[in-house]
Amino acid sequence: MSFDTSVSLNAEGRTTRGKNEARRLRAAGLVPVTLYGGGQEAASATVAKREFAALIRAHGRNAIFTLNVDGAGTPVKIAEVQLDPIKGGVWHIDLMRISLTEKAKFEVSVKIIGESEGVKFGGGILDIPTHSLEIRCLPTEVPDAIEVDVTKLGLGANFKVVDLSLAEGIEILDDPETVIATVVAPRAEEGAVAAEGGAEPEVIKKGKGEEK
Amino acid sequence: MAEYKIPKKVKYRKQQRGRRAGAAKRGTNIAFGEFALKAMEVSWVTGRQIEAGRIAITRYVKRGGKLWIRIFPDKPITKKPAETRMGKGKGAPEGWVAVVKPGRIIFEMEGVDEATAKRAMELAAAKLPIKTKFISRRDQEGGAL
Repeated sequence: MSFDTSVSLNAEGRTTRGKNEARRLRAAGLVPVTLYGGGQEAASATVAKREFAALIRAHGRNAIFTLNVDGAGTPVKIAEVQLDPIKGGVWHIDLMRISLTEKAKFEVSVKIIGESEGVKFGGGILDIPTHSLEIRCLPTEVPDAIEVDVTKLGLGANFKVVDLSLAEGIEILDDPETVIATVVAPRAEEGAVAAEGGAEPEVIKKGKGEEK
Repeated sequence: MAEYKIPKKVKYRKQQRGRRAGAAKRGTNIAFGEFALKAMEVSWVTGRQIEAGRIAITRYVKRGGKLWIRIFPDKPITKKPAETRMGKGKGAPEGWVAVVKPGRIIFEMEGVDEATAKRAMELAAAKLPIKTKFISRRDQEGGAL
């Protein structure tokens, strides 16, 4: 998601602290935000949960947008979103100030394109061990997703980071040998008894004799 | 004897039951697959129940897909024999359970379409003693906000 000046989010400065106040804010449809980076002091703010959710839905987690805190606009990226582990609601957001002329790190998700030969003809299973990659580039050049074309991937073949061809100016920080996608042969259907742990008694690590 | 996975080694044969308050703090996000089954309640899930869920999924998807089991029954459960008077110490180990708290991911799947994964997870959920929810990576990455 490259930087779009029209995408913005309104925030209000926040001076209150603590879990009780954060809980009250969430009940009122707001989300506590911490804004940091850019060589400035960290600041606290709140944003409307609905507005933030709409922004994420429209522009994704890698969105770079202008945060208007009490009228003053700053380009920011989403550093971390804390979610409710049960209901999935937003608990807290970390936003990082970025400079539009300096390269920064971004985490971009991998998008798989096509059906691989190994799956289509070989009956294999497409395994995606890496779902996102870390890149370094200008905020204006961040792609929405890194597209991985797996159409030519046969059974047992891997698609590694080194096989990617990205636009100039985008540097991948992950190990070039990291496997993004692979086609694995389907396992033989396991029986009712799991292979491991078939033994009945557990081994006791520390006997009384050892403690003496 | 055991028809499910159990710890290879333990330090002590018996454990106290413990408290089960609160939500899961770890293992709440999809880490490996595309689709997952998330616990919405707290419970002890026995090794047998986990194994029954695993079998239900693998039978439904046949040879397709990849499955991850994100919980492990590492807590020993004891039981006193029937018609025994109280006292005379803690009972004999009888099985193993995993303490599952709300928010915990139980199973993860990959390599199948959403409808198949959903049905397979429903079949697995029927083997578990708790309410669960089917989620996908898309929900986790902002779709459900």
